[in-house]
Amino acid sequence: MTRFKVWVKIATVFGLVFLLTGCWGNRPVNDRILVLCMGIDPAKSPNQFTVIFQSPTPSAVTNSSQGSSSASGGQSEVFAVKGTGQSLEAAFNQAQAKVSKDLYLGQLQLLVISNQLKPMLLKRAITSLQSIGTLDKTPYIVVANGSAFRMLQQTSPQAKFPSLYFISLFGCVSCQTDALGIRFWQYLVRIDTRGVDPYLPVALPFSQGYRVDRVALYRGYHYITMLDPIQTTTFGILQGLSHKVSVFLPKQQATVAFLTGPSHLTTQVINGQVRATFDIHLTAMLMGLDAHTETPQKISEISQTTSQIIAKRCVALVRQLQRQDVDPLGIGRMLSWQHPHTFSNFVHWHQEYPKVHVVVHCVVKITDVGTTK
Amino acid sequence: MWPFSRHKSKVGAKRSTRANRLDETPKNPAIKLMETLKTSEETLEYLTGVDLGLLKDLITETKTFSKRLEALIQDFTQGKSSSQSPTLDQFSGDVEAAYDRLKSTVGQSPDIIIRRFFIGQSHQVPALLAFVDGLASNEMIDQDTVTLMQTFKGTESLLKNPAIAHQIIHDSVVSVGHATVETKWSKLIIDLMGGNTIVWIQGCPEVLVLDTVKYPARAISAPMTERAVKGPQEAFNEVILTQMNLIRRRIKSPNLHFDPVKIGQLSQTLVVVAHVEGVTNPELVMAVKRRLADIQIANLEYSNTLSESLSSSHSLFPQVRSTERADIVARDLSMGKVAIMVDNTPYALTLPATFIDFYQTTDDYTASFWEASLERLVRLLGLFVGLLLPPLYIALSSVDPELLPTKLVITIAGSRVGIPFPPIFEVIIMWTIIEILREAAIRLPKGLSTTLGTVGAIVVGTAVVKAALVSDIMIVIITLTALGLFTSPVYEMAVPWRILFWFVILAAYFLGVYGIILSLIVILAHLASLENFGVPYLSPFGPLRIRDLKDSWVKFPEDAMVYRPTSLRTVSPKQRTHHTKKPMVYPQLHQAQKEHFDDEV
Amino acid sequence: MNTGAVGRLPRISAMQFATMITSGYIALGIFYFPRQAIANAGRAGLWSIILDGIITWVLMHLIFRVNRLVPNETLTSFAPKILSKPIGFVMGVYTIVYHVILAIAAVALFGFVLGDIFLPLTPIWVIVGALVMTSVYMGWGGTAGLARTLQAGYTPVAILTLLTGLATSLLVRHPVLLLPPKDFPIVPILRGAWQEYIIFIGFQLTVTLYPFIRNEQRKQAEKYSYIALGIVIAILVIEYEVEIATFGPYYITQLRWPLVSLMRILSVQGFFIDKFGLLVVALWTIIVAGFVAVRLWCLSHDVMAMFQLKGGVAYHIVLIVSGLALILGSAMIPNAQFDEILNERYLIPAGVVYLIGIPLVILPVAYFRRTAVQKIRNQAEATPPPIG
Repeated sequence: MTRFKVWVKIATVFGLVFLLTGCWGNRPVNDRILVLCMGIDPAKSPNQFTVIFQSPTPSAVTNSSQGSSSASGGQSEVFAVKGTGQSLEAAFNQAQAKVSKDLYLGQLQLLVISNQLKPMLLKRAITSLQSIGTLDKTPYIVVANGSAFRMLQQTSPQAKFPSLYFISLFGCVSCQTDALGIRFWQYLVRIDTRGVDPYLPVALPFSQGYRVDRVALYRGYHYITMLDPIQTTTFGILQGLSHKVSVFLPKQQATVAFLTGPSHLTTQVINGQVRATFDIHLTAMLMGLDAHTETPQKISEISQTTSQIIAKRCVALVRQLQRQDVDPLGIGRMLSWQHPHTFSNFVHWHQEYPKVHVVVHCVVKITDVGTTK
Repeated sequence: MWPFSRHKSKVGAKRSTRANRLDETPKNPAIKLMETLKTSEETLEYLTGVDLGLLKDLITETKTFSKRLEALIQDFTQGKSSSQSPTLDQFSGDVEAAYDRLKSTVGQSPDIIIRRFFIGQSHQVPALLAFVDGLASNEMIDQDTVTLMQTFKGTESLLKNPAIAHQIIHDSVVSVGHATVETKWSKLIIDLMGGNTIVWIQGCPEVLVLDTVKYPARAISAPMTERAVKGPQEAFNEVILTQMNLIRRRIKSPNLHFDPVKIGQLSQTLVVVAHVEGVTNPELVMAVKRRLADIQIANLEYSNTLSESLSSSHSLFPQVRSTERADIVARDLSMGKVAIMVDNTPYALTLPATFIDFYQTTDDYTASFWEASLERLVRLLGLFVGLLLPPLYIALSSVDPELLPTKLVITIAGSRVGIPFPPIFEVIIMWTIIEILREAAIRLPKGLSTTLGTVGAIVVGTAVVKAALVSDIMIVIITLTALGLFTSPVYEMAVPWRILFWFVILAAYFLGVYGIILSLIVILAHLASLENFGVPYLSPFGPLRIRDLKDSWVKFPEDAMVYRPTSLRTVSPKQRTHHTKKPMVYPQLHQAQKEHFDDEV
Repeated sequence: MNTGAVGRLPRISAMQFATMITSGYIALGIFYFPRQAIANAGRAGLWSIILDGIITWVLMHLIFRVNRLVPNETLTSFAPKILSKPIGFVMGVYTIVYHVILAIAAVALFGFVLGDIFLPLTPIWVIVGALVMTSVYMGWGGTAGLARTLQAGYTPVAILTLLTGLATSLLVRHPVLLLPPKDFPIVPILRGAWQEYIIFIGFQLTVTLYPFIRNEQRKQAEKYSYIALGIVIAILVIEYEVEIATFGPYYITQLRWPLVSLMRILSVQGFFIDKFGLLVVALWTIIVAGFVAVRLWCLSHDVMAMFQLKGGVAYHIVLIVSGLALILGSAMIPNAQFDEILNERYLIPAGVVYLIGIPLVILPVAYFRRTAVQKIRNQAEATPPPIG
């Protein structure tokens, strides 16, 4: 009996050793190329795209761990490998062939897509990206106007690597006028959900870094348009994402700032006609008003005026969106939740969307009048 | 007048010529034999050159043997003539025979003192006294035994009733506090070796065993291995009597029992099983005694030898707690555990021990429960850090870097640039250094070990990083690991983790975080399957016992711990009354301050 | 015949029984949850989940009634005595085969999940092998050891998962979806309930585990099992709500393992481990290992009861052989899609048939053969509790 037990133990040990005969996934981080940013650009040939894998240079990595903030003599802190192919995998393989270490996508933080990508190519890229197991769907995704490669080449004095810049930007809601950060999974949810279209923030490089104050609108994988900054803030208000929006009232010579608040969308079906209502409740801070004129009546007048201005802007924006037949606000999605039967009776939501009657109720409440009087 | 009519002639003959007890040349047939042997030896030596030393030994042995035989025969014949059934083990009452027997056995060693003398002055009764020099108190033997017996006036009564002579001596002569009676040689010799003084009286088959034990002992010192900030500072010393005293002082109830067991054919070590009647589960006590009785070893030197026999399997984890603190033993006894003390070892064993027992210290009970809880959680954290930090480093830096925040990954990657080894080898290098330093620091004299610690920590640490053998993050990790593993208040508990550490490291190397979790499950399963004396090792977590969780990683206030641990299945589960009485309900208990308050107003 | 049931092996407490029973289900279905319900019933999938819970409640009640017939013997050992040997034998073989396939499906699934998200370069059989070996070791110490391990390991992970699940509620983007759906499309709900039932399949191991409860704690053990079931349903409802309000119903149907995807998007900033949810998924190893260990334990006992094997060595041999069978079996499953088809087409129907069939066959027969049942009860236990 004891001999049997000894044999069992020996067999177990051998089994363990047998199981552990390899170190399959074991590769220290310094032996991998940590791809922090990935860019997708259309290639010269029509059916191909170029994928840019950007990662920090070894010297930048060393500097970073030693806590020295100085850039290493004007040298770039990131390097990019490009690959071109008909599929993401082919591009990846081409890029991998150009480097000596393993291209590792598990730390991907930023995905940049060019707005010139054809829908078919974009769809192919996104589908491939979805199925990479190690890539969780948390990277932020931004749109580059034109070339993603050019955008990734841009450096900012505020952060060493573009990915870190965008992580800190999108990770902090009050760092932006509107909380525009879109994670990859949020994009995928919008792509896959009926009755809503994706929108993505646009990062425009300028001499000091990037400017992120616009959104690009897509219908499915089709790039439609880019909203200008004012429209973008209005869009943020409609989505309930606004944080540092301000409105200047020339008549009163006052500024209403930090317009923040939720926006509720409800849908109704009246006689087969879809009606969407946005209820926006904003709180704001009153600035720059002359102290002598600050009376309750005046304040309420200001808040009313602001409400009207914002409501007007919102309605204008929604009208434009309807004209362009993109639904980034998710009116159709809300309809599908609130009136599933009506929604499922529509063959194509995009045929119905322009006909929706949209109402915007906006209330601005001034809660903060500043510390000086 | 000699008491034994049967031996009258013989004794009388002896009395007429007073035996010379100082010069030891007894007329003995062995001498003849010896002389013969000596001549033959010389002849042999002359003839063949045989080793003289060997032959001399042989002669001495033969001599002793013949003496022993003689004494045995004497005892045997006398025992035969008496009413008792004759055994060689029984003292016959003949002092001379006893003397021969002693002299030929233990008496050969110089530390055994055997002395023949007479009791009384008018009527002299032969007697024999033996003790071990150094183990017995000389003053007690001189003043309280020999002097008193030699000057005893009422020897007549002894001669009249030789059979109860021991009683008379016991009752009205010797002034040694503790005296018992024994008849068997086998027991007597062991008593003698234990420091007792043995007195044989002519004609009396019962032998007096006088407790004159006075060991050379270390003073009671502060505990060295289990230090406490505020608790009592008394540790056991090597003498079992002192150990019992220290416990007795803490538990004065007559229900505290010390049951002696002798273990070791050679060492005859006294082992005491302590328990509190009416608290401890009697089945547990019986089981412990049975297991102890089952132990057959030649020499029991350390209490740790017993702990292996008292454990259920050869697990890495200690299943018996060994402590030098008297207060911990007393606490465990009052909880319903059994304590085992072994003579000559200053570490008592308490059992059955559960996993959490090894994380409880004196300080937990002398400080407020807030502090105690904090300390215990720190120990848990220390355990986690010590066991898991390097494996997590390996797993996260090599297998699953996607789990780390980007900035940390970059930092790690940066610190590893230029290091030629994979993280697992870094861990091996650093841990080897730590273990070598630790071992060296223990073995070296105290003064040197401090220097060594400093040298090791600073010089080796810096040098290794400078030489780019190990990344600087690894230094931080290993330092934390080494410290974390030793937050375990009981030294034995640090050992299994130090070994299992490698198991987890390997698992992390091959399978990353998944491997770490699998290895933790295996460790958990092992802990859960351990059971000693019917007490699950992982209680109160393993079999979940919510009542006992109050004294686990978080310690509740004392008045919440109404019950003794469920796992011990004590006879009386309750150990205190419920809560402290509230001022509103029992104002008389809290009034003192109120009056004081009123006075001031 | 009394393989470990009568007074030989250590018994377990009521709470341990409930823990073991609970760890006997969930693990397989949790990864698919709640895709099938939503794919079929849309937002009304919530009703499918709740319906599944109620059905399980009823079935558990019936199974306990079967157990109470001869509370001191496993079903495999007393069924032949009541139903005649061939039928009992068939039932035993069915139980064993079913347990094996269920465990294979679970380990293979977990292998695919981990291989996909954690260890892309490691062969699946290594992941599965390590898992099965851990499970075998968990079962090595017998009923009590396994029950204790689960109590000490399973409960904290379950609580951590729940807390993480609540933390994921920070990701909720569409609070309007938290409102319970008002429509009741009967057929889709039923279809969703049927396909989602995989999450509750597995609690039938009560038929083997029941005799191991301490005699005086049987009633309590049943009560705790119901409570645990209630908690499980509550947790599932919470997870369902969080998930649908985060992803919306359309996207969930696109995900292979929705709950894993939900956990993966949870990241904690300012902590050593960024993707905390992913760590929790790794901790689910305990849940899966518990599922497999309980099943291996059950399998070994059933095999021993059927072939009348006795003793610890036999138990360990059967345990190892079963473990090897699991590793080999899981190697035959080529991909995750196949695994899912196996669940849907075979495991759910076979499990439901078993769960309904056992009480349906045994309870009436036992009613007509009351005296025989009484006799078996008396043989198995000195003072059997009254029937009921």
